[in-house]
Amino acid sequence: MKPPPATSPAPPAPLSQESILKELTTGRFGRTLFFFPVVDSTNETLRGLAGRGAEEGTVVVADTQLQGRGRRGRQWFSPAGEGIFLSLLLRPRHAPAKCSGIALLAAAAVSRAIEDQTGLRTEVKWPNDILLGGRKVGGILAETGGDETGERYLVLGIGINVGGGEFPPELEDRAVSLRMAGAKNPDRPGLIAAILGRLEKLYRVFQGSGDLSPALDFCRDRSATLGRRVRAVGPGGEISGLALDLTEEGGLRLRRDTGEELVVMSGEVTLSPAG
Amino acid sequence: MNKDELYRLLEWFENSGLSELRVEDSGGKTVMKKAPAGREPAAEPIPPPSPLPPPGTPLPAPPATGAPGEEIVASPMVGVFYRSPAADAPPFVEAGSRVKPGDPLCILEAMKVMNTLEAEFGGEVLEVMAENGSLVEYGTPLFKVRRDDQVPADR
Repeated sequence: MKPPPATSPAPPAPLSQESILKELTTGRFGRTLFFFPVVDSTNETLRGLAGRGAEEGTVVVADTQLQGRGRRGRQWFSPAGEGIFLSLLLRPRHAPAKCSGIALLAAAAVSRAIEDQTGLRTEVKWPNDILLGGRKVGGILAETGGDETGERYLVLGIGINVGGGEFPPELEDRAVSLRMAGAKNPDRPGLIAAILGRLEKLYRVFQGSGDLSPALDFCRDRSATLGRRVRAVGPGGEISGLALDLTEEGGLRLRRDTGEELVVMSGEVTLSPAG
Repeated sequence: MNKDELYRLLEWFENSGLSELRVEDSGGKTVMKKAPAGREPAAEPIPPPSPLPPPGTPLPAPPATGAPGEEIVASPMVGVFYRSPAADAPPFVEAGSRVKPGDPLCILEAMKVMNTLEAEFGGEVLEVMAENGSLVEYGTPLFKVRRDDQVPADR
């Protein structure tokens, strides 16, 4: 990956409630939208709203997060003005086991929206990391909860590295931004609106019939995982094998060297070097 | 597993057109089969019968009931069982904890979706039955809880 050019291009377009609403094409997603210059975490903020009865499609966007989180409390790098930090409230009507597929639905929507907006073809690493040139450009963290009436909700957190060219040393080899990858003047309001538009379409199908197949087809097409040898590290230990396909529920089907096939539903997946 | 969750899962199975759900990991295999009600089998070729699980493989526990007033909270899904919200955070509950309806008990993770499992009823946690960080199946017992109110809270 080349270093960022010495003369910095213009910073990404300013982000505000107004600039996002102007770009929205959705029916419900993002029509109730809260914008904050700074929050601890957009997921945390939205969970607070969800617990008080906020409706499906409510969105929280922040310019920066003080305690942006990834999986199991890991930090998500959230510099001001250079990223998208967005959380969307869903109230899926399907059983919890089914709702895990929303992880892949979100990955498909984000990957597709990035391509629509910037022309950059991203890859999806199972289940839901968004990669450019093998480095992570976007991540998704979904959390469920119940509000005071016992109604279930799901908060979908999306983080995307948009501008910027400098990551902390520990992320340098693993992270990339849209601008570093060649997007000229990536437009955050437009990208947020595109993500919400794609998400709404895929989610409507899922909510109606439980069908994930449009999202799965896209994830298969852009998969960084399928056809590769992978290592999945889970609680049962480590499993290596060839990634064959995604299951209907979004699980990863592997074939071990012994010929045995199995389906991985959780755990950290590492891609082995090609060849 | 409470009735609502069981019914929801049954409903989903019936509507999904799936005839079989196989979950396998290095710790063992679990095969769940259910003939889709009121539906012809899918037009695709029927897959060959799956191998039997090796001896000693735990099958998903049925919705279990404990001693009178005691209930087993079972996992509604396949996932990784976490007792705390983050790696360095204290557990949601311990044996002896009092819970009220809606209190978080644990997180079940599948495909990076962190599912918070909340108490359906108030009571005292008697036992944490699964190990933090372990892979649990549909129906795996997670907690034994003595409920305060023995009248089923069906709504």
